[in-house]
Amino acid sequence: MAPKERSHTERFEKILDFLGDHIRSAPGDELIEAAREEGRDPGEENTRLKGLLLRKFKSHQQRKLAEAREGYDRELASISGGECILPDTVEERRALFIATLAHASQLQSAFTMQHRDLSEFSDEDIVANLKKFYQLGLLPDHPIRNRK
Amino acid sequence: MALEPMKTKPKASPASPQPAPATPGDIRQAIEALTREDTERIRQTAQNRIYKIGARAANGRDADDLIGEAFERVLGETRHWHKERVAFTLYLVGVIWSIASEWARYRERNKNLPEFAGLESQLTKTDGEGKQISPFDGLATTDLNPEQALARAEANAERERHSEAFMERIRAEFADDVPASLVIDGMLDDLDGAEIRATLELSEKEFKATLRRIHRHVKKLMERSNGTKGA
Repeated sequence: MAPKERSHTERFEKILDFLGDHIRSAPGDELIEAAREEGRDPGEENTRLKGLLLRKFKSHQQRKLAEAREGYDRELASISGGECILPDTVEERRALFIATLAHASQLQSAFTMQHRDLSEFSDEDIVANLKKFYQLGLLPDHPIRNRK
Repeated sequence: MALEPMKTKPKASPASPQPAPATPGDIRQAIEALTREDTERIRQTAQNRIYKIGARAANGRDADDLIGEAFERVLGETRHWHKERVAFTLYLVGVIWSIASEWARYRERNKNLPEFAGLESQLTKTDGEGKQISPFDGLATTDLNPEQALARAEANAERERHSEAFMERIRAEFADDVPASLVIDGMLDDLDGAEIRATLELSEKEFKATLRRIHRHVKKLMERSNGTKGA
């Protein structure tokens, strides 16, 4: 069977692919020479292109940072949101905190290792941690949780 | 008879851990270390790919846009550079080839609505297996309505006319340049550079000079056709 006749477009693309492949693998000095023949200064092009890539890099990093900040702010807002109803008194909050740690044994060692004695926790620490536990779904179904 | 020591079956080496992709710090370092040769390779590759896909698929975008989009993909989650495997320049050049093909494919799919090519390209994501998913995939239909089929046939015919004109001009330009004509024949016969050189008994220097003449002329043709002063 005779090979399929190539269209003009396919033939022209073949030439461009060949030249493209050559650029990919040609020795660097050949590319520099080609640039000079075209009247371009490879040094200037180097500065320009590196500048372009560095600007893109910087704006990408800034975007990522802004996204991370937004995520953090959202998390903070949801933690400090009024969804979590905690017991009214300091003693009850401390009791809930200890009950949660007893319930989630994996947390117990982390907390006791970090602070040695749970009695050292202030009420503010306890409230902040209870809110985090709430966010993580770790608060046990404790009757005092439902109290206003 | 002395006993030969028993040959032990070589133990399978534990699977080497997958190398981690380059960090943003690695990428920044790689940019700062780019030599003039590197930036020329990147620039000339991008220009060559823009010529290849044609002005319509490029949709107003130039070589810098192509480099920029390729680099964004390297920085994003869709492509990962493994610096142990490949140098940064060659990696970026590979991504440039791939993005240019994407642009050409989108153009092919959205021939009668060129502005969609850019939009689809921007919105396309890569799934966990590296497969590209276009937001238009769900809407895609393999059957073109008569109007779309006509638009596609017209666009193909237009491109074919342009290509025919380019090929004629290339042939005319090199009518008296036997080595260049023969090198072009070699390209069209799917020979690689070494095969063309061997067949035509060209020295490396002659081959490179011939290739450069062809390159210069193609570039001139494309610039005239696009009405731009390319790279």
